[in-house]
Amino acid sequence: MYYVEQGELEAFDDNQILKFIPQGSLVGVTSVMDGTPFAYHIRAGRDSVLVKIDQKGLGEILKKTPPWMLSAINSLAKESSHLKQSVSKPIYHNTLESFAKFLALRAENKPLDTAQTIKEYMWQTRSGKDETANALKELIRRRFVVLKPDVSGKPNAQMHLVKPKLFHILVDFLRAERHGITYPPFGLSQRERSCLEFLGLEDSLFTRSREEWLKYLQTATPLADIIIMIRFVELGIFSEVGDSKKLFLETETLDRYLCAIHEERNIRGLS
Amino acid sequence: MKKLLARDVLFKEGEINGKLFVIRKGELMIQKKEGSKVRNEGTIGPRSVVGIGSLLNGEAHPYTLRAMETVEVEEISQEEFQAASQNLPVWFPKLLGILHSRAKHLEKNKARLDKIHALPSLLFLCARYIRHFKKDTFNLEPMLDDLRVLNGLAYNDSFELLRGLCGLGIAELIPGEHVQIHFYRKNLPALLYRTLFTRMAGKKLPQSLLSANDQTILTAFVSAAKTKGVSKQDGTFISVKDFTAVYKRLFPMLKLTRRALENLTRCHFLYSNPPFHTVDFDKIEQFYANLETVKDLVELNRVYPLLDKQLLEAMKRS
Repeated sequence: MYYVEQGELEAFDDNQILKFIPQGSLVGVTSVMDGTPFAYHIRAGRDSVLVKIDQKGLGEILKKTPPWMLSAINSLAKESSHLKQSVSKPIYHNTLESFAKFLALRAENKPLDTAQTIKEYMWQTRSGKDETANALKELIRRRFVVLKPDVSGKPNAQMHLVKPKLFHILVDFLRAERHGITYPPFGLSQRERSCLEFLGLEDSLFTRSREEWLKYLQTATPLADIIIMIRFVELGIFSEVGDSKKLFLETETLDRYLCAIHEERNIRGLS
Repeated sequence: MKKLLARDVLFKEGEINGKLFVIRKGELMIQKKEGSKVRNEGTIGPRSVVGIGSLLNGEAHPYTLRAMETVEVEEISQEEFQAASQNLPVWFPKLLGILHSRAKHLEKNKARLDKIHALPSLLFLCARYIRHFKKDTFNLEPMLDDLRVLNGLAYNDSFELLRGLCGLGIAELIPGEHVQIHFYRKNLPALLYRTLFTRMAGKKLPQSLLSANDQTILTAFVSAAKTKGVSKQDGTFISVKDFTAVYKRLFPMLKLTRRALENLTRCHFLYSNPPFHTVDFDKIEQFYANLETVKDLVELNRVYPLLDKQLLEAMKRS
């Protein structure tokens, strides 16, 4: 590394001047930091005085440098090295979460070509082969995916998504886990779960007053109380209908909760 | 040494205070604004150094730092930096500046590459949302959430990428309580996605990428269909006479030959009546095609070459 104390240098390549390096500049910092060769040739543009900074000289100066400045240099060097390494790496939080989301969206009403699907996913996310294969293995272990030989005799296995809508639930569960939050369906008490199961049987009347809903729940779960009603409203299983004081049963949310509860072992990966 | 209690803010996003901080004890949460929300971006702990750009160049802090517990921070002002620099060779503080600008350059480059790499995921999601809602307009927020899980691109970067796409004239953002995106041609995201994927996966050019000659023919077809087209079943029919007249008017230097039409008929983008390969060219009475499919193809071929360079420029402009 050199410091241009006086004069001016020229960076050149094939006898073409690429840039002028004025007095007060440092030359060769990248080369020293990365241990890479100089990117171009350097010559004196006019009479110049350079200060050569070698490892020994640098070491002497570092001894006199305040600790905070050393920390700053160290931090910048680490940051640059990290940025260089991460440039071709995926930026998602978690491969399983990302792959499950991809499959949830990619799901068709027919099996997926495994090799093609993986190729497409890796292209979209820059995920590595091993990471993707591990995510697929994990989905197979959790019984979300089943691989079957291709019926037409092609060498490639077909990917059967067991229940496509479960993939969205798995993503929500993994996200909650990543944030250290309890996934709401898994935080329900046994009594609340029984009430949900009973609500799942309802298929005609979806709007009732709070009291009517409570009475309805108590026919199957005598211990159901107003706290359960409040909790179900908070969780979006019931929604309030304008100012009418009536509650509407959100069947889509209820269905998602029941699905999650029924598949809890697989979603948690306990099977 | 500065002391912070849990929830205290060390500095706010956008604040300019010209200071550098070295964390000596405790953890702080990095928070970044994303639209109307604040998102937690991770934590930093002891020995972390923040605010080098602020100290050297008076740059604004790019995020908020909030203490998660009792934190001790060493604070370095510009005066202290000047004083420390006087005891060192003149070139040494410059080294800090060079390393900082190098890190910033790498960061900028990575952010740009992350956005470019997220384009297929964004198009894939747009196509899926259009298909799911059966509409060319939908709320952005759930889609950006999905993009974050699938690809990892942060909200602000996703927005910049979307504004870049809008800059190419394929969609518009509709402000409101829930920002929406409206695609002018609802099949375009799916077409662009499939074309990009085919391009990546295979050695051959995708059929949907047309030669200049094919594009002139389809452009003429769209133009002729406006005034002379007759809609029947799933197609728009144009007599050869009308089609040739429009083609001559639009492209006077070019000649419409059998050979020029061969590729489009082979790829089933354009049909003739009687069928193209059964009769001589001068026996053909009509050309027909699905007009919407043709318009999609013409639009795809207008936009595809722009993705290379103009998307980046459109992102910069946004």
